[in-house]
Amino acid sequence: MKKYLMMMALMLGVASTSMAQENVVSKYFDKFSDNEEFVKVSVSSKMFSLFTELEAGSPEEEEFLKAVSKLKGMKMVVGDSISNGAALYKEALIDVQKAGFEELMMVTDADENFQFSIKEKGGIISELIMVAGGKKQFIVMSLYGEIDLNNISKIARSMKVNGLDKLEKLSEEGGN
Amino acid sequence: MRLISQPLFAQESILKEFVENSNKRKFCFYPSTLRMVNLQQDPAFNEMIAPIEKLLLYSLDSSSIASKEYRYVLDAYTQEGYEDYAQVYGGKFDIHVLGKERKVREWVGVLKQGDEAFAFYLIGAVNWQKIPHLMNSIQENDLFTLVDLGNNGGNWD
Repeated sequence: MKKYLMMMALMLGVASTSMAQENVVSKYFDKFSDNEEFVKVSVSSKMFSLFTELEAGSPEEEEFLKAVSKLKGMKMVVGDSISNGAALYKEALIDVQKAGFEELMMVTDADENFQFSIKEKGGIISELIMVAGGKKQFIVMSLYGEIDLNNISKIARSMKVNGLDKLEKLSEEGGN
Repeated sequence: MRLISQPLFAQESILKEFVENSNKRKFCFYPSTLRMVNLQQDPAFNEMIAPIEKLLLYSLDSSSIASKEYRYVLDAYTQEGYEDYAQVYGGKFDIHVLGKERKVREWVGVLKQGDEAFAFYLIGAVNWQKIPHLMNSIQENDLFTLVDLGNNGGNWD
């Protein structure tokens, strides 16, 4: 029972929809809407707004709340047992580039590639996109709102989204 | 659909009407009974559930899971002014969380993972900031499942 309560709490706390937000990820949401091979996750601004109401009980919680409270939404499409992961990865990278995103970081290894890109205006990052691809895996994820790069690793650590942890390298390397 | 025409302040009944013939097991939790679920007495869990005033959980039967009829219930709630907070669907998941802000916040949703599915109705809130800590504890501990709880007679009403 606790497991289900936790799953529910996790979804209430982490995982919605901001249909007004037209972004690269929306294309893949629509494309794979009825495809059961892909898991679609969306978290609305309503959900993130809940974090502004909370009082932190520890410095760790305070950091997390501060980082998350400025987010307006998250959308993610995940396929982890597909046949065309590499092709989708290449396609998504082109979409990201066409949409005017600036590459932030790329991580490559034998099994998977990750690229993080941002949209920035006036020193404020309004959207972060992660694209990941391997032989059998594809992930495209968008975080939008007001994003502070200094806090990205904290969000990454807390949200436990596969691949997002790579952003911790930004803090380690001072790549900000 | 008949579920849509509900009087105001009868939001709980929309779900109750649906699960009348489609649930295997029903759980009704209040703060005291929620704390009983926390057998390992993790203080973070108790803090997370503290603002919950009432939680109804219904495990759905296989036919309602297969037909995805529960989505009509969610549509009915949307028409009652509930808004999307979170969705996960595709693969083995079909999770939807809707919320409505009144004097006390109300939540309704469906959690399906694999062959199991729950519908829930929650009045109150959840201390979201406790979730990262609790997710870590879940990975470290072997938590009991609903089936275990059911076998141990944990069915409250």
